[in-house]
Amino acid sequence: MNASALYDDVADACRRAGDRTALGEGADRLSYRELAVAVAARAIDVDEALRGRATDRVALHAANSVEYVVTYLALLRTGRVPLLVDAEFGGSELAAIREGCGVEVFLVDQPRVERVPHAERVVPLRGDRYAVVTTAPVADDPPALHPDTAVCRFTSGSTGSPKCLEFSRTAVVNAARNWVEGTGMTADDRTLCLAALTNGLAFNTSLLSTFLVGAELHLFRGLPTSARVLRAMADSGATRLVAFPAVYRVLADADLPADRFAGLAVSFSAGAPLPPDVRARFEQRYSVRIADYYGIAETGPCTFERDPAHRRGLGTPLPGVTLRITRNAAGQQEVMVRSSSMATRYLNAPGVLEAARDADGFHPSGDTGHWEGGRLFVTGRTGGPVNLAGRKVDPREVEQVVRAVPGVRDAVVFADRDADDQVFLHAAVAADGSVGRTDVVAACRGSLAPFKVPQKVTFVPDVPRSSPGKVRMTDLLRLVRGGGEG
Amino acid sequence: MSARGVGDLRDQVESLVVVATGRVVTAEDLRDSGGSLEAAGVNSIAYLNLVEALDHRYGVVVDPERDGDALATVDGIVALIRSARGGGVG
Repeated sequence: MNASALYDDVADACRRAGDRTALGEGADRLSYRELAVAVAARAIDVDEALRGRATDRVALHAANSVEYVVTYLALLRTGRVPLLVDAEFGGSELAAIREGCGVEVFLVDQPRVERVPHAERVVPLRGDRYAVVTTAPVADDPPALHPDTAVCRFTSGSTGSPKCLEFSRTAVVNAARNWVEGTGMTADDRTLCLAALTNGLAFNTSLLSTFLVGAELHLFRGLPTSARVLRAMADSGATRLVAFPAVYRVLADADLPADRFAGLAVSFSAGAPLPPDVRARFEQRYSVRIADYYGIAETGPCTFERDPAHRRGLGTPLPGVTLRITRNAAGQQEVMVRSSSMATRYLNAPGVLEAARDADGFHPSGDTGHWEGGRLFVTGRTGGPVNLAGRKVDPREVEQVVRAVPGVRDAVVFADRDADDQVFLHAAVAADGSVGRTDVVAACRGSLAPFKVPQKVTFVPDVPRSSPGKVRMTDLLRLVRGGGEG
Repeated sequence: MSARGVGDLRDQVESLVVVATGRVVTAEDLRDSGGSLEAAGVNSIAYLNLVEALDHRYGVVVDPERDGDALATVDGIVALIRSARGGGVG
């Protein structure tokens, strides 16, 4: 019921905005009225494809597109909870989601049909670009969804597989409303979103927030090269740009005509720290402010810098958000968040999210930071997932795959920095002589999302561990810096 | 193009890929993977850097959607550059 109630919020927006443009992709446009019609038709097709198969949840696994949004909304309309799965996830992640979340139905775009594990039946939907794939029943009893859950998204964590966050209708609507109010979004805004809609950056800044005010959302897929972004800017007439820091670095280094950016009122960066020199070059070249946005998968959007004259830090809390800095068990100053858009729990890790919160309901962000002049400053990570240019990776998930390679005795995956000071995944592997770098890379490519594949593999005689089995990182780094192979 | 010219260009492309990965993936890694960028562990950020570098260095505007297959290997990228140059040696 919560899923369909969430769609009601969008349906109201469609009635209000009528013939205004809701969605764009390249030169294609869909008005609010057309969006409602397309959603209704897709919902009928989904119901038909699932006739006789009772399920309260469906994993949506596809790339950004207008049809993706239509399909997502259609799932809500049918009352089924969509689990938004990263389009880059591979067989290992999908298998973990199927088993851990009790998902027996996947709604995928055609290139991804083959990835669905234990598929039993494939029903193409009208247009043939999407299909409903039903799998064999999951062996264990599926975990029950929380009664309030309307949407699920995934985050990396410490469990060795993607963790499924359950969000209520209230949380999703609050995240959108907080963003609208906090950033001054209006019906005249046209947001060009370069991030995948499965990511919190896009989901919270671009999807429901756009519809609530009757604005335009312009989608993008594929590699965000400077030439393609420039074309998308022209097609969309964007007033807002939403992207990860890597995109701003590319744009800052490209010699693009500044007048193409003249319509942009503001651009948003999130997911990873934006280097000050990149910000300076971008803003100088195109005269567009980059506003940092700080958000956490478990809590939704947290901060935004409202003052264009203020150039340092991550801004002040958005409406509905309370932040505080506390000393954690390791003695670090950790950013703690409580918001009106928090996830309810992890579907596939019962009790973990609830246990992580403090007595006042604040969630530990995993980021260290401090306040300065009323602004939040994030200074690093407390540990946990590696942040790869805005994508979080649980090293343990990668280690499991590497250790399964025949001939590998032990493996550790950790964050390292390249010559450009960018974070990359480094695998230190202890193996017999038959195992090569290509074997390790191939195993990871075969079952994990491409961004989880280690870029560097160093073979070591043994992974140095303390007697309880903990990796001695200082010794390991000395080994890998000292000239291992790979 | 002479064999030496092709070899020089291949070396240049390998260097470009290595730089695009922040020098994490080496030329040897590329050769070990048979020239396949994905098999060598080149990630999407490095692809982005590479496409931009091809534009800056050779004036080759690559569309990853259209030219995805060519971008997958060192030989494919060499062919893209040669094609953009009309087959000549630059």
